Amino acid sequence: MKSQKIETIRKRFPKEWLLIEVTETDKSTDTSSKGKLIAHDPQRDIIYKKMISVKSKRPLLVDYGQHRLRKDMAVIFTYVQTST
Amino acid sequence: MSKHPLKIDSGVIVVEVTLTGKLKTIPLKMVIDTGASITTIPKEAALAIGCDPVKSKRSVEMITASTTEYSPVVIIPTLRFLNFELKDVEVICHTLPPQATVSGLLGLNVLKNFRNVLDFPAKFLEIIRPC
Repeated sequence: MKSQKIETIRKRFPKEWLLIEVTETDKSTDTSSKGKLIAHDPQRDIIYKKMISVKSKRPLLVDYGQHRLRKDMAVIFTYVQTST
Repeated sequence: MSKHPLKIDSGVIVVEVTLTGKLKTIPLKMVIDTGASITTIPKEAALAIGCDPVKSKRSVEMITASTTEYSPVVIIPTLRFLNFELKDVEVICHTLPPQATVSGLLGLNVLKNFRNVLDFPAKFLEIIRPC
C-alpha cells in the first residue's frame, strides 16, 4: 500500500478508528504527516488489538477520522488522586 | 519554544503525543487536560510499547465525574509532544469510554514542566520550556 497524507486517510474514514504506519513526520509541528493505512474500523477495540499485534519499526499512529464533538455530547475533565 | 495552531473545532484541544518503549513507537491523539493531575493512556498502548500494566506495582485511585476506580501506573521511557521530549514519564493506564474520539489525556504531570500559553483569540498554542 502506498504512503498517503494522514489528512487524506482521515477524510476517507470520518467515523472510523485508524491504524497508520507513519512514513513521514512534519518536524515543525511534530505530528505524523504521511503514512500507510494498516487497518480501519468503527470499533476502537479492534484497532487497539491490531496496534499490539502489528510488528513495525516505524511509528504506528492511532487516530480517529474526524475529531469533531457531536452536538449532543460534552466532555468534562478527569481528576486523579494518588493512592496512599 | 514551540508554537502551533490552536484548533478547538472538536470541542477539546487535541495534540499528537508519541510514546516510545522497548517494543514500539506509538503516536496517539490526546486532549490537553489541565483538569487531570496525571497523564492517561489506554492500557493497550502501554502494552504495545512494552510497558505491561499487569506488571505494574503501583496503582492510583482515579476519581472521575461518575466513578472511582483503581488504575495501574506505568513508566513511559520516552514521551514526545510538540517538539519536546520527556524521559521516564509516569502515566496511568485507563482506556477512555468508547465514545471518545481521542486515546488519552495529557495531564499536569507533563504540562507542569512547561510554560503553556493558550491564546484563543489569536488561535495558537505555545509551549515554552523554562531555562
